[in-house]
Amino acid sequence: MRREFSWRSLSLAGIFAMIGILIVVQMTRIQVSSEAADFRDQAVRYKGWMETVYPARGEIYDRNGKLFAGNQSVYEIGVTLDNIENPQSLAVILSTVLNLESTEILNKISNAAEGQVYLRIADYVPAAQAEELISIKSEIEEESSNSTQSGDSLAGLNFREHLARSYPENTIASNVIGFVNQSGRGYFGIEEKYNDLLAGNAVQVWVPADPNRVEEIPHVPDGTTLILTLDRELQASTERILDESLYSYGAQSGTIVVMDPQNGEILAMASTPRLNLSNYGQYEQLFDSASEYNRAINMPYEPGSVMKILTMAAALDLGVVTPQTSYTDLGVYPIGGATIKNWDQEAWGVQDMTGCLQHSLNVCLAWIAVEMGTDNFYGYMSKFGFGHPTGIDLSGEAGGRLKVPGDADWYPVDLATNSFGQGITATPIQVMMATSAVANNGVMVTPHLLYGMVRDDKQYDFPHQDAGNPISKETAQTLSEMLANSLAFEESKALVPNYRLAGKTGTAQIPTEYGWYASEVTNTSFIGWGPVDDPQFMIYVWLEKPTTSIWSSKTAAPVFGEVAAETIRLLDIPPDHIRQQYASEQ
Amino acid sequence: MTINRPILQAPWRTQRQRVGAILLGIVAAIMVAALYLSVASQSTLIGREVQTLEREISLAKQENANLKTELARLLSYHAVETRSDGLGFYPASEEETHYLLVPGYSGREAVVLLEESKEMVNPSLPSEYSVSLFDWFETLR
Repeated sequence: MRREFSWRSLSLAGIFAMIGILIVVQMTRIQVSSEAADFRDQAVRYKGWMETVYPARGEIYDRNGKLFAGNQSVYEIGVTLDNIENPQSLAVILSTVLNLESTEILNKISNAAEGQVYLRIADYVPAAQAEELISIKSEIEEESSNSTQSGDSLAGLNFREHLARSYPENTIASNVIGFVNQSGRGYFGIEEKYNDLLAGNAVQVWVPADPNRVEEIPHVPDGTTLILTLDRELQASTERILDESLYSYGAQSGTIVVMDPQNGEILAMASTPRLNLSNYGQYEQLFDSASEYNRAINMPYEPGSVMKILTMAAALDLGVVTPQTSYTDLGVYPIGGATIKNWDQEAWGVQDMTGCLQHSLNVCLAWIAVEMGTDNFYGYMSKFGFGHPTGIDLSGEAGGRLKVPGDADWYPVDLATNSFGQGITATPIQVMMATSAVANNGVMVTPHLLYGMVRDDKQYDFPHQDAGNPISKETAQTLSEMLANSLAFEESKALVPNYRLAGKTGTAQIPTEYGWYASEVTNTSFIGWGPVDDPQFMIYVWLEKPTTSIWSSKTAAPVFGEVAAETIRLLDIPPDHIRQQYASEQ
Repeated sequence: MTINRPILQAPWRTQRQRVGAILLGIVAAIMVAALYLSVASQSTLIGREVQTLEREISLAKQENANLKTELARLLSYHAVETRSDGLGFYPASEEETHYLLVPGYSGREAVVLLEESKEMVNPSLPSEYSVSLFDWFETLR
């Protein structure tokens, strides 16, 4: 019986063996076939793909956590060429929503390269426009599924969402922030200076299709978030005051900087004109050159009499003069074949050093510089940092020019003119850094904008840096008192009631391209700080070519007063008598 | 005189033993394969879940960035100024400002975006989903 039916088992075994052999033969045939290479390539393609991961750009905040620069979703809109059903309707709808030429879109589609799969139509499309297109596409798809007639079609249209830079405050602090273009590179200000930190590192990543290898995809950290020393409210107020001042005094342009003189933190930095960062394409219409982007750091000029503070500081520190030193001002001072005169061409007679500052006497300061000697004068100017950039953390800082004996274009008269801020060029931030030594007990601070940064879920705050001690504490305090007294004596428009402030005007002639000074126009500046016994702000004002008056005392000084009052209000600085009362109770 | 009398098993019994041994081998192999398949499928499912979660994290980050920017626009200087003007607020003048001495208050401090450093969470899979069967056997020895 068993033998009778054993052929069945043998047949089944034979069939299975045959199937096995056929499978092995087929596998071998595929391995050695001419298509084997294609199959292998296909297998490699299905294994995964290379992808460049761009980290989200770091955000920029003000010192109180207000967002200056963030990120927002935008869309890349493109078409998969093989899937397009109706190029005409696609072109018309896209042109209507995206404000493009339909013929241009149609040409792009019909002239696509041989073998091209995907065609990008537009990038950085705002979410509202992209969502409108998505909604039109789904409406058309719904209509076509309900009817048999072929009509409009957006088949083949693709959307890719990604992040792009966004500036919620538009123009506020635009001169400091800078902007990022569509290729992701920062231009000007913080965006350029800290581009590498903000952008993070783009990484080429192998993305395996096999879910078991998901762990092999590396984590790409986002760009570093920055916290600035700026105070948004003070920045906006400063910009408003600057704009109003340009209008009131008919000035061509201007700059106002507010800094904490005890640590160099920039609290506000306004400059004109200002770019709306959400529409940075207007850059070329607004600026003739890159140096106009932020005049506070990019544009050196002859600052004029604000430099007298530093000449006096050097002389007091050397002991060449004391506050009580008297000088008989005859209205003229001959030097190097030239004659130095006062701003009003008058002789002011016997003056002490406070009087020389109060009346801003060029003749007196020229005499002081000569008494000091060239080596001492230029030694101090160098210690104050003139002739080279301050190192502020903004891109494109200019260094100004300090001619020194030995330079081909230095003449003995330069010693005298440099003493009152002519024949020397510096940026407002350089003058502020130098003068911080007077406000801050002889210690000069490095101006900076970076307060801290957030990286890898940790916040790092940066300590401020000192930039040397060009003068002694005693000299600084003496000079602060002299400047505070001179403001009080002349009843300056820079003063704020109930606060003792120190400061100095600067009215500077403007050199022409022919080498001499223009007679009708000036640059008016003012630098001041307060409260004198505990300085919490230092303000620099520079108005270019005001037309209502050529004098700083009538233009820059009142602007300083207005900014100082606003700074006091926004920084909650109590009047002197309240602070002193509190100090006495301690 | 020695008598050699070999005793043979019945043929059907020998066959049954062989078949039994083969079946035992097959069952063991099936069990190992099933175990391996089960672990591999679970590992794949978890891997897919991780991919989905990572995609969700990425979308959540984008949404977070959008919301932050939208919030910043709503609280931007000009937006707040317009709203406060509309509500009748105006900047306090010096005469209207009253200062109070608050012992211990040293003025406004700059923002702290992160109160404390957070520990990084390791997003890796549990070892059960990444250890091969042979590795697992190794751990048993």
